[in-house]
Amino acid sequence: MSFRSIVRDVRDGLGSLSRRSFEVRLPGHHRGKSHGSVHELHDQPLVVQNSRWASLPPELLRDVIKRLEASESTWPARKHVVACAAVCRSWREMCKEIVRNPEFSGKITFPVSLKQPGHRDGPIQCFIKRDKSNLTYHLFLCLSPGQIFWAPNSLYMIHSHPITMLSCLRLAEAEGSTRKKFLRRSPLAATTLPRSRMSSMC
Amino acid sequence: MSNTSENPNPSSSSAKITLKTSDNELFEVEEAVAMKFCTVKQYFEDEKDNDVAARGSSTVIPLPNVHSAVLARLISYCKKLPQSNAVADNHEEEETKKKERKQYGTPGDLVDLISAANYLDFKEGLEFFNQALADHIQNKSVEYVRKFFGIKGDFEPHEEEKYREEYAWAFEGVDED
Repeated sequence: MSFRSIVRDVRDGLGSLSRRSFEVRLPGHHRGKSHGSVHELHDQPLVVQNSRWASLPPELLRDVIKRLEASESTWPARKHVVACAAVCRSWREMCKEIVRNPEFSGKITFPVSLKQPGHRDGPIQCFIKRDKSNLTYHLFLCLSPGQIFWAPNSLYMIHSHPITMLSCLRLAEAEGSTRKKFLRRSPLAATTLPRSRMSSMC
Repeated sequence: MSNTSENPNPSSSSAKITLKTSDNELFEVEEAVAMKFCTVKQYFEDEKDNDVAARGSSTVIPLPNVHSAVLARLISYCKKLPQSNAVADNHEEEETKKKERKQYGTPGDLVDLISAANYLDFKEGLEFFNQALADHIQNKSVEYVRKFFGIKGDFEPHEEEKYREEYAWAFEGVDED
């Protein structure tokens, strides 16, 4: 199976959740949308049953999930919010609304975001920086292409929680032999993901 | 009931307000504490407007949706309100805050605390206990979360399987229930 077809499979299989997260949503619109979704939750058949939680307004649960989402800015800890989307349909809807696409949040929730093809002058670009002192790699997201040239330091401000490259490099592994060699030479023994899982994602 | 002499700091905050819970317990709390609960504050102000002769100490404010055990905890939280509910910058600080949040009861109590804080319109408390709940469900299995909230999974088996397969990394290494 060629790499291209695997990527296509993964992308097709991602379903609406990731596709939603890549949508460009303007902050103003987002607000409108989230209001709508609270309304939808009311309209949906009651999912929370036989529980004292059922009496609480859905906005409260929404706040809790928001807090969960906000508590971790780096991947893979952001898996919590992805796991919550598996609880039931209404939770999935809620998580979809809360997880914003990387262009706005500056956070990568789905590793496949790194593989999304983008224009060279697209609104989101990433940079890899090697820290020689502790042999770690950081992935920076640049939300506006101009900023990296004008103020390199602002990278840290834009993305104050650099994503460690441990997993990102592995994700990029299939992209080319150069990266593969790079990975083999690099002392990145530890990884948060077992290799078998990675192959299914790449 | 009117024993206020124990207050070592007889300042303006020593005015007391009596709250009556669902189980008919009476709580005499300092006005400053009671005013944190916007529902109480509103009631209190309305009472004041309606009855010029009414004084804080003589008004009993009924809280038919709050049990005494829950109110006692909310009051104790109110008295030592942490400086900030914001997510801490460094990891250690966050851990300390998490521990602090755990002290206010078992996860099962959170439903009462959150619902009471919501009813009382007690913003800081609501933020605090919502965060405690977020802490609690963080890194828990989907099954645990369903059980905890009494939610029935309503996905088709094949849908659920597909999701778990695609995002396998999100379901690994969860804490034990």
